[in-house]
Amino acid sequence: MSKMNPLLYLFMLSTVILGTIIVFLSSHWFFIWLGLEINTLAFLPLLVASYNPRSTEAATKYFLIQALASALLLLGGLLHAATINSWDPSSPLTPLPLTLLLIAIALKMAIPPCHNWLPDVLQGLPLLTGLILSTWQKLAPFYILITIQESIPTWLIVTAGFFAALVGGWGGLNQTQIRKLLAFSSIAHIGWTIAIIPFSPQLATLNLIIYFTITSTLFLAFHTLHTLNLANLSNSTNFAPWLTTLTLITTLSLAGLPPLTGFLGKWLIIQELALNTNTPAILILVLGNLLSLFYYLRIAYVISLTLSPQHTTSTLAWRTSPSSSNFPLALLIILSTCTLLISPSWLPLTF
Amino acid sequence: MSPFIILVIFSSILATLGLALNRSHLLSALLCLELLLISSFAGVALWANMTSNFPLLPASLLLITFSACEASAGLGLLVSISRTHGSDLIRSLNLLQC
Amino acid sequence: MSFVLCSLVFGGGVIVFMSRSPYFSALGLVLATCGLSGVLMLGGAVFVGLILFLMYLGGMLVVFAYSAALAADIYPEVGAGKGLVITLVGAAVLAMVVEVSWGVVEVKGLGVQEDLLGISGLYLDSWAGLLLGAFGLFVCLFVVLCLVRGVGRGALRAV
Repeated sequence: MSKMNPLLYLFMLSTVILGTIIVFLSSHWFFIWLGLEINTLAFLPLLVASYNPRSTEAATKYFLIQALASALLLLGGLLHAATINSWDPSSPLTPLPLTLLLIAIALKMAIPPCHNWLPDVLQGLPLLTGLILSTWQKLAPFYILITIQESIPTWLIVTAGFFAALVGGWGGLNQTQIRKLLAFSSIAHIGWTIAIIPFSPQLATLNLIIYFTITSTLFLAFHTLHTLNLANLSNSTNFAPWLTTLTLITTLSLAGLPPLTGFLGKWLIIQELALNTNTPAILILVLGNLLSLFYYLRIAYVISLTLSPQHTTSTLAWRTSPSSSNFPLALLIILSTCTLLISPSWLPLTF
Repeated sequence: MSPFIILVIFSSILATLGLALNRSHLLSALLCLELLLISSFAGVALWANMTSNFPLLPASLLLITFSACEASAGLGLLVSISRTHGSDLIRSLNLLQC
Repeated sequence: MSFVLCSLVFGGGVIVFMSRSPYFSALGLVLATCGLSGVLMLGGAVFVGLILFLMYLGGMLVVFAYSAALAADIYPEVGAGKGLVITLVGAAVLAMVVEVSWGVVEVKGLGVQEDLLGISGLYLDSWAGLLLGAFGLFVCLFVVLCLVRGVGRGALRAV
């Protein structure tokens, strides 16, 4: 089948980055909309770059959702300007434009109750495109959320956060496809991230970056291992034992187990919520994480707790020679497992 | 609150409901999206004209440009879906279910 | 006059929302665009209203009509029935209410065309907007060409 021209792919990728940068640099609701539109428009060819029916369907669903969200964002900005007579994003918002803007951001970032598109869309995409969707495309709406966060009622955003953690936990329990599992884990982690925004936006950004690191590691590792579902995953010990072990450790890091990096984000969030005496939120967030822990442990069980020549859960594959060295994956694995132990050196620099 | 906002709000509500409650054709969804963007454009242009906010008027032209870009991308996807799935019925977009 | 235009907008919106076939939704969209364009012209933004009429109706919706001919049903469902008529009457009543209580738009005469003055700034003060729009259209061309590639990948043509 035909592949996309690499120059065109690079051009579209640069335009996606340009769209997000326009959102970062703008001080007018209209230009935020413009950046998001350029972002969505240029991302569509990346979605259909592997020309198969699943990618086309995923691109259609993604396009409809993102176009609706951008239009609602513009409408919210227009209503805000009609009442307050200012197009500045940092001016305080009245309830009606705020509702429209929050619905738009929830649609863009897959925050429940607007999360149903993410598992379907991620399922239809190859893993590297799914990586861009899960990491880079979340930056622009997160920036908008940080900009308007003083106007959002605290109870609303904390409720959305723990609702997201619960939905991410429950939704992933029945999945065997890796990409859908990663979609639900994305929903859960975004829930943790937005729950802390009213108290400390810097901590939310830190948690987002930690999540980006670990999930990039997992996406790249699964791409290198060519696994698409849990059955393929059980095979990978046979031809890449070291990468499989490191994938196991990274999955446990995503679950938030100490002493791995994922625990750093969750620990700081629990500490900040406890300092603001918000114990019901901590309880529900942690219980939601417990649900996610179940399917992360299922991945751990399938990867390495059943090994050949003992009883395997699927047929053995041919052993081929390992692929060439993969420096980005190696760097990301180190970052996503060892960063907690060296955090006293870099963490004070961030706050 | 200016009087033309009622126009913008009502057509936007109808368009959003039409997009959300659509059960038949992808093309109907795209048409509702177009109505949403046209009503936003009319809102921005009327507001800019009323308050004589000069920098916003070329922005309204950019708005209509990018909404036309988005509509054409949507139509391209419609053609692509029509080729792979046979029609543009939404109930046939079921390759990615659990 | 503004009552007629307002009821065109509301009626068109109702037709877009309540039709069962995209042909009639497109018709409703045409009516709503005509109404909104008329409202814009009444309010003094004649240039912008004309742009909406020419470019949107004459350009975009013609393309929508061709795509509807390609992709929609051969035998469209026509039954709209009492629901649509009642909602249209309701929309006209709402337009009357809005017109009487607020007045939809302050009718401006053809004096100084402020929208022309503003849009001419697209070539002077906001030249970055012009470049951004040109770049966006350029990107959109390649986006659409990438999306509809068919010959090279042997896609199954069922239509």
